[in-house]
Amino acid sequence: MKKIVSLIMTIVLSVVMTSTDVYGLEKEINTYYTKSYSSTLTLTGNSSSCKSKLTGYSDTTKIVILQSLQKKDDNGSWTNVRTSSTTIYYFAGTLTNTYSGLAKGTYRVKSVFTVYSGFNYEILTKCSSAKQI
Amino acid sequence: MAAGDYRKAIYDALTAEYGSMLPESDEEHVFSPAFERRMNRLVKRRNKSYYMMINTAGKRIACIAGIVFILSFSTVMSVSALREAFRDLFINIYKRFSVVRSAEDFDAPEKIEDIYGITSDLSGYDVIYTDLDEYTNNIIYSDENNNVIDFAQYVKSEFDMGINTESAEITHIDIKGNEAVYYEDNQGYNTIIWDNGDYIIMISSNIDENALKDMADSVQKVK
Repeated sequence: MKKIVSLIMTIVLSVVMTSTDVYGLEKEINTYYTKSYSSTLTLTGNSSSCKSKLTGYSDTTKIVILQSLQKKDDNGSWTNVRTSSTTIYYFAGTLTNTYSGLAKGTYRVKSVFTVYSGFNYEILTKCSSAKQI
Repeated sequence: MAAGDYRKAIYDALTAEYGSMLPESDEEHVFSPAFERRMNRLVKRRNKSYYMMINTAGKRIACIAGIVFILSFSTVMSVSALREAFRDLFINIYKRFSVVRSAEDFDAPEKIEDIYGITSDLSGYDVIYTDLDEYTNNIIYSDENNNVIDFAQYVKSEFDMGINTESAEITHIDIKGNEAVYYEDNQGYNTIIWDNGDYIIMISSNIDENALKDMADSVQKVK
């Protein structure tokens, strides 16, 4: 029994010691190239407008945007119904797509941004709020 | 005689004699209520499934210490997703980024009807980026010293923005009577976000904090 208690204490202490690193006692900076980003979906009738937007800093050299219009299936999972991507060689940019003839259901836009400064990069993901047709 | 038989013979011979020496007891001994309560508690505690984990002082101290650690760990974790509500804006604060959204406002325009802009002197600055559609009016200016001013106007219903707040302290300031969100990010850019009643205005720049506040104060309808 003492061994079990010791083991539990060891696990708890290990987790706590690790967490101090992750949750901010050390001021390690991870974000360098992205100032703001958004992913928005507007629906009109059975048409959608999907917009992915990112603004970087002066060091930002390239933005790759992968945009997916997703529909919620019967199991509650999101499935891609349309995908699109673009590469922008600038510190700011948008990807906008409009789709019509969408079936009834719940939709959202998922945007995955890969933001470069030279060969270094960071990846960010943003989903819009879900909306219904 | 074997040792077992010898022991039995002594027992048989002496037990009756000793028994006769004991005083006769008229009534059975009654334990005190306090003793009975204590014994009942002990029996009940022993029947618990986790009794072996807490049956010594050392184990109990270890359990309490573990609980304290787990509780403090939960508190640290919750910092990663703080939620702060300004009058018209909600901010979910994460470690690297925060997500800022507008509160629902059914009276606000659904599309951009009036164009807002910076009215203070921008001589020396050139427009280096524009993004204008039904929901957004975004203009970015830059001068020859690489000073950048990023002005944006958003329709409230579509304002859902991820912002770099890593290591930033988010505070409140006043912009023309409106409560604004202010922070300096880890790249030295100051950002001010506020709800002017109809739209969300966001202005960020690597220029001096006070100069940016003056610029924010100059924002008004231009078209």
